[in-house]
Amino acid sequence: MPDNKCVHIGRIDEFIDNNFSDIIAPFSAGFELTAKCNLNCGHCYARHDRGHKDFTTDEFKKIFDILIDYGLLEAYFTGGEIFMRPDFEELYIYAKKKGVILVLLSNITLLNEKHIELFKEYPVELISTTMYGCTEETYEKVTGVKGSYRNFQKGLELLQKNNIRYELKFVSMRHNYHEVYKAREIGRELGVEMIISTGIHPMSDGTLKPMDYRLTPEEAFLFDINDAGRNEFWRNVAKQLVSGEIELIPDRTKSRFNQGCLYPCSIANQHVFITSDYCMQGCVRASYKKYDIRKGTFDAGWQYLQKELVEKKSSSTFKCRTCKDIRFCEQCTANFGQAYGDEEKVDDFYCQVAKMRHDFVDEEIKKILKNQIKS
Amino acid sequence: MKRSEAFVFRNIYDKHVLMPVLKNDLSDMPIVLNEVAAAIWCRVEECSNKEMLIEEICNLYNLKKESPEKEAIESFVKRLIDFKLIME
Repeated sequence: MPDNKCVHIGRIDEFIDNNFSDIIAPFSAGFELTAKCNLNCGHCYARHDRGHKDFTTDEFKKIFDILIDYGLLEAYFTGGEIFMRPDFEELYIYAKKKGVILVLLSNITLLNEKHIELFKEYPVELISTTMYGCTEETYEKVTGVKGSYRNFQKGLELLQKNNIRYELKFVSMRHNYHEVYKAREIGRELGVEMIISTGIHPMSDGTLKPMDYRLTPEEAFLFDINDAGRNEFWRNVAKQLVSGEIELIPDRTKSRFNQGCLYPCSIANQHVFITSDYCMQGCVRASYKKYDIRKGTFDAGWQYLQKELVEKKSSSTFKCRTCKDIRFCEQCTANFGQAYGDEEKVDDFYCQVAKMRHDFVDEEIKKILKNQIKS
Repeated sequence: MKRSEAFVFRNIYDKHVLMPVLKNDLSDMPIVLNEVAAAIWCRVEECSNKEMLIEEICNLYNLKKESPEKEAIESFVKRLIDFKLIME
């Protein structure tokens, strides 16, 4: 899928594929360091007011050591806001010294010179941050916090000035859709990758409130067509389908669905997510299948995730299994589970966008074939 | 001799890997070592100089003094020193 990442494994992905492709183990892990956040974005999937006590420094080190024994190579820290955690530096250095590649997901409004010094000594693989709007008015309409745009700009300047590797994301929603093309321009001006997403997800407790911020399927598709990068991506898909380089149903999806699996993705296969209340999940989204590490062992949790996610079979009526639009879809079984408490209850938003993309690619294929016949 | 603190050595499912920790000029991604390279890395701090390290490895693999294998070991140790992965 274009501009869409659910697991931040970046460059090390290839290293894991080349060396450990046949091994089921948590080579990558996400850590929600805290549920607390200094911003208050309405579209955010992470509930700040869960009221639990975040895992302690010692609990982090304990689970991290276990994951190292299991082969952990890359981890991402997310929140809440990671810099809200007073022991952030201690956790970061601990993880780096164990020999793990680190990616940080942050709104960067609390980023300061001290963090930059830390990243210069112990390099960060990537800081992934989100621009909620291109103007102060729009940005703060989304974050709900006065002054947050100015702090974001300061953070951005620090990253730029110090050559820290980062990526910018722009989550396109009702409040900022009018600035989505401007966001692309800003990315180009800064010389940084701008990942534009139209995906809005339910909250981690299943609350659907963030969905109010979602674009209509038509608006989401319009961006696919009007944005030069996206448009080119889909035209390339058409070319690759004609040349036979790729098939209509992606290999992994086909293989998983042919085995009757419910999850076509790599959930809990080589990845685990640790929540700030010290539970294991198969990925950041799959909060409806949790294993409480405080009440058991990592081994038992890993087995639980294998059984509940990796090995779980779908019913014969699961719509995605036979869908011809799946290559064009941002389908996420975990999102369905999170939103509706039913992993097979498909969110029609995805179906509609995928259908429009598929139709667009079909038209492109017709044009390619017509040109081939002519020449 | 001393190993660089910029990397940490890890055994991951029978693979020997140097993982980057500190800023360095060599790599910010993992480096896979073969068995001999891993043996060299693990013995560095037991040896007081590179000659001793080479001898240790030659003894470990029963290599002759004038063999091409020994030359390869010497050349590899020299590269480790040039890359500042190990220090005399």
